Amino acid sequence: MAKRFLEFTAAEVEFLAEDTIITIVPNFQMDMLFFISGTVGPFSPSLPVQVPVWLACTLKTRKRCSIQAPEWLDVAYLSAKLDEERMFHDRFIEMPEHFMEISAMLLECASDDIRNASQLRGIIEDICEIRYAKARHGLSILQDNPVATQVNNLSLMEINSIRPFFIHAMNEFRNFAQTLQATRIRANEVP
Amino acid sequence: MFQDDLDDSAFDAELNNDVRRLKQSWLNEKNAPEILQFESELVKDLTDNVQTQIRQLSEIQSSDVMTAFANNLKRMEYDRLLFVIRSYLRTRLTKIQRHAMYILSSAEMRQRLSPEELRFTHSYVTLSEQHYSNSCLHDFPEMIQRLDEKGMIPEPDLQTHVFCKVMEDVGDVEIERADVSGVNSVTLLKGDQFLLRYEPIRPLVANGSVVLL
Repeated sequence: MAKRFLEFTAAEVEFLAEDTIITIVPNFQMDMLFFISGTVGPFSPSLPVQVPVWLACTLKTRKRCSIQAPEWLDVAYLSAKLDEERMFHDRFIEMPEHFMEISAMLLECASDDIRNASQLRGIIEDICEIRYAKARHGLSILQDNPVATQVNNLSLMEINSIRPFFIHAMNEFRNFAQTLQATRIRANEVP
Repeated sequence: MFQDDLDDSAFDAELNNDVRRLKQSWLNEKNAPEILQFESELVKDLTDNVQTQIRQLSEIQSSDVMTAFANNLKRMEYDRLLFVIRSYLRTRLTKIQRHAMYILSSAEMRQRLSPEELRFTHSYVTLSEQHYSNSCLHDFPEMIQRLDEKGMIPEPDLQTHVFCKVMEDVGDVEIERADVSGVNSVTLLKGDQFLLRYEPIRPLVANGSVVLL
């Protein structure tokens, strides 16, 4: 059966990230675009305009615009986040939504518009690694709360990558607990 | 003219909201173990919008490079929407195939389907019953030919764990413990994310105060 329709793929998470709005500077003239999901533009040379990431990357690859890096795609900002992420072992630091996907897409298609692109790549990779290590470690303490685990600030991409393993593990924990409980009850019933 | 402008902007905001809601329904549907209420108006409205856009684009005959470029971008945009609509529908069809008999056996589940989906479910069940009967069941003793005995119908596992995000303050939700008898309460506040069992938050997903991730 088509199991893939019941799961999110990394590409689908990236697809959702592509609707995030960023700023570009076009080099062409065009009227407002009436999209189904809203209007974009008008476009005038050198006038910054807000568009979804997918449009920004399309225009960029056709050399129709330059992309303005989002405020957070910055060495100082991300280095501070990296330090913060290292400081706390028991929780995730709040990051801009879809930061992994957006930075990957922008660094891929517009590395000439983004300052310190290679340094940024390194910092983001470090942040992702630390967060992933925390998530993996988190599984070993999952049993502490028997009913719900708080996972604040975990991004959709991260949730998606740990999902199969975590859901399976939690369901197994639950099965064990139920078996244990049933055994206890039965043991008590024996006179 | 001014009035027209106003109407246009109101129209736009609503459309925007429709697209956002469709994407959330898609996320919910992919992650919920059971089939959810079909978003019939949402799907119909957005499909109509796409049809209108396609029609308008086919009517424009222009050799102007910029117009062609703009049309190309509009095509890309509605293609993205169509992708979400298709994936949403196919996700539902996959679930229907998994739990077809269960869905037909429950009035609550049946009313969650669109008329087309319900028709599909009926013919799917008929076809699979015929297939089982032709390929082996007719050789079995009559007393074990039935496919709808208790315990034979696959049901969605409502106890499975899901990732969710709280969209508005809900307060305390009591969740039954598995290891000892009793309940623990969990406070759901706006913006929090949890990994927990689906069943206790089932009504909250249905009313939109909690969304699945």
